[in-house]
Amino acid sequence: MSEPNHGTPSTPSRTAAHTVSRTVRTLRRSRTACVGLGLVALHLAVAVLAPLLTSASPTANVPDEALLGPSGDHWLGTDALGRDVLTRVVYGGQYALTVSFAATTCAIALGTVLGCATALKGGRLDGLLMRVLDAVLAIPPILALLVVVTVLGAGPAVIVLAVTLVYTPQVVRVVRAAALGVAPLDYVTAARARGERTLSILLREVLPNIVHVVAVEFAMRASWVVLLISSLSFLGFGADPPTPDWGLMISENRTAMVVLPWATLAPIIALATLVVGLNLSADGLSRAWSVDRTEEAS
Amino acid sequence: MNTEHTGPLVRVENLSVAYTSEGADVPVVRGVSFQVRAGRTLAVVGESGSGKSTVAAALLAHLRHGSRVTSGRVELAGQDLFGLDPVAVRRLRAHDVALVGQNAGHSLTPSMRVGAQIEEALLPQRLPRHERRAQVLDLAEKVDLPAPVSLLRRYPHQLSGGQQQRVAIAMALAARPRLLVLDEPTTALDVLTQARILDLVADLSSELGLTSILVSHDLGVVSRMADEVLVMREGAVVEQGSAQQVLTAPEHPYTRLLLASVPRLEDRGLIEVDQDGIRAVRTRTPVPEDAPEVVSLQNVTIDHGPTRAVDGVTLGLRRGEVLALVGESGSGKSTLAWSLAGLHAPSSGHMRLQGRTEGDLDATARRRPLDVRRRVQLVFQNADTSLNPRRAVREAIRRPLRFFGGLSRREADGRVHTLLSDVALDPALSGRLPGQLSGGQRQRVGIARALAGEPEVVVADEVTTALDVSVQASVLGLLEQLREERDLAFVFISHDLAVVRGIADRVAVLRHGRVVEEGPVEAVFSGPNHPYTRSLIDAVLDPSDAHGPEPARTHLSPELPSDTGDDPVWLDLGAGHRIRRRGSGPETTEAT
Repeated sequence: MSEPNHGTPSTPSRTAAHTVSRTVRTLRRSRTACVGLGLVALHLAVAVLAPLLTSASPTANVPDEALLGPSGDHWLGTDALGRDVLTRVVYGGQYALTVSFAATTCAIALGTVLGCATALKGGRLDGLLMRVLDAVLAIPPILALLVVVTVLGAGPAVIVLAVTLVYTPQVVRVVRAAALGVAPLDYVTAARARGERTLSILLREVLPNIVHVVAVEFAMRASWVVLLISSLSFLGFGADPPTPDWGLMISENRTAMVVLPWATLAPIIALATLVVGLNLSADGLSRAWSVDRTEEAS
Repeated sequence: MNTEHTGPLVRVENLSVAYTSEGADVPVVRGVSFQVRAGRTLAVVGESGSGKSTVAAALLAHLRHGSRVTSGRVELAGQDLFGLDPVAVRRLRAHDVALVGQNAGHSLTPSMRVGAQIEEALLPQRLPRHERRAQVLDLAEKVDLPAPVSLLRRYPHQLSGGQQQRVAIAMALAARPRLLVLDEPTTALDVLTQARILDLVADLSSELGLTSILVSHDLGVVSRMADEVLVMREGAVVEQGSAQQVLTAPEHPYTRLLLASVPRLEDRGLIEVDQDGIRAVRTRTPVPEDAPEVVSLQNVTIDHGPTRAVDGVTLGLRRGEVLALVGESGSGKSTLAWSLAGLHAPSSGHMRLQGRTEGDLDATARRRPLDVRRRVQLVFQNADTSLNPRRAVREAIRRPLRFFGGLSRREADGRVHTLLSDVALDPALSGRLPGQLSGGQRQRVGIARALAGEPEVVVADEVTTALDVSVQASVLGLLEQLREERDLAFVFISHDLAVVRGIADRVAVLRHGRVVEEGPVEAVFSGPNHPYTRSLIDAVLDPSDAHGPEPARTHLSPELPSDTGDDPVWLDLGAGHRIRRRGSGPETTEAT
């Protein structure tokens, strides 16, 4: 940055823009990241634009048109209740994306705060929290989810809560490890010597330096959450019929799989592409940022 | 490799190295040529970014990822190192060239016993196992590792820094290399350990007739070790010649500047160096006799769990005074300073802030009243980690202004500009991220951040250790200027006694958490001294003493006066100079 400074407060945003543009450039160079982010973007676009893409209703039963094969009117055919499969797949993205986004956000947010705080505080609190989380980690996720859902009943809010409970400990471990790398650095010590509150140190000094770890963890975790939520629906503990949900659709249509393969295959493909897309994005992001870090070091 | 080679062992001809960044070539080394004859030691000297480490790595046929040789060649005994295939490169590194790196703590494998690591370096010789074991023991004795049999069974983290470096040297010698590359071998060590390691390397070199290339930024170390010196700047050779000639009668202005910037023990004040490398010693303005005390420490003891880091220290600091705490690593000087800054509370004793604001400093920062807290500020050793890499300079300085002063964002921004000019930085830098600043600039930002609290006491923890000499001189000058302008009191921690002599008014020597000597800077440096202080002073290497395998110098120190006074612990020499009596403190000397 050789241009003269005019004393305007635009400089920090310009440096931020610099970081963003560099990340975008690195991401564009990586094919994995491009494919992954492309897939996720496609899913997002389809889910948002669902009402424009199809005029049919995803839930209304049309008994006359039950169990049709692919045709001009119904590209992927219809299911046992006469609902258009493509429409249900398109709307199914809305459910899958919103619930898993909400659940992942909650797990990441809680995990980040706890992970940073325990890394900063250290001592007995750290030991205690980590042992408790170890105990939680020992419970298989699907089992824990089933217990929560059976006790509290199904519904998106319960699923978000359950997923948060199951995944927070793993996020805490990852974030804590990253925060431990930052906590002993001198700028954190300087903030401690000023007597700043832990929350303020966390937000100002620690979080900006581990945000890349959190972002990659978000993308990784999201792909797990999408799978987990679909598994729940498949098992009948997730979305209630007639909600268009991929897991539920696979479960409903699998009996007719030989006759009408697309009714099962379409949600499977949708689910698989979303998970693969999220995974590849996580991969590409982590690589883009670690490349950035070596550039800074040289 | 051909052993019947005649002529210089190492021949570097017109070597240029560049790395590619965004499509453009960035040169790191530009047309460097030199030769080293067998049995000689060449020192490559330069400041950070001069390309000296790249040259050292090129001698092992290694280039940092992404860089390449753009011209020239590197020959060892007539063989072009960059023309070798990977197998030959491995053989080269196993048999012919060995490297001792800067930080042995990082280059040793943490999960492997050190004996096994030395043994590994012997594997290419295909000796039977018992002979190999015997050799390992032999090497350990050669590098003076204490109690080698049991020490070789330890893991790297169980050794001290000096011992780790000895292990690294043993590994380098194991292969009986023809060339030894020493890349800043003592930079991470403190003065006493450095002196011992340098003695060892010098002895081994003459004993084994080693050819070595020493890379260093420290001209004192270079004068101690080198036969010939090569001065580099921005990738190019500035001057080369015999050590005697380069270090005592340098021809190039840059070499003169570099030499002039090195603080010497004889300087009775800070040095100022002009562009031609002419040095002038600035006379110190003495602290007024009646200056009030701003901080007093009474019997301060600090424990880290079961270990006692600081053991009953009583000290005072007056307004406008620089008190230097000196000692080896582990002497408790940093612990004491950090405790003063409120990072951990002492387990007993009292620390009190007096003067304009009064209050106890016995508690950690958060328990101190805001107005007391702001009066004691900390500046860190490592400019790389003292600033948050994600926050612009402006934000780093604005935070304490808003935190302590409750200024609005606009007022704070105005103050940031004033503070930046106070530390001689261009206010236009306020929008930069720390990564876009040089080390010296970052250290100045760190100082500005400390000044933002309007302190009375600044704790400066080895603030110039990580800086290049020329930058070091200017940062020291800045501290001195701030002290005069603002009547600041400094607690200045350093292990470099030449720097201490330049900046301090009073010196306290710490050892194992206790003060062994305390007094005005002149009295301490003219002696008589506690033996420990004497050993610290003797360990300072002066670049004008080129060159000697014999110990650099023995300072003549007046004998301690025979028993005077009746204090059982302290020997009082008057004018505030006192020395801990023998037998009243830890006197044991342990090997490193």
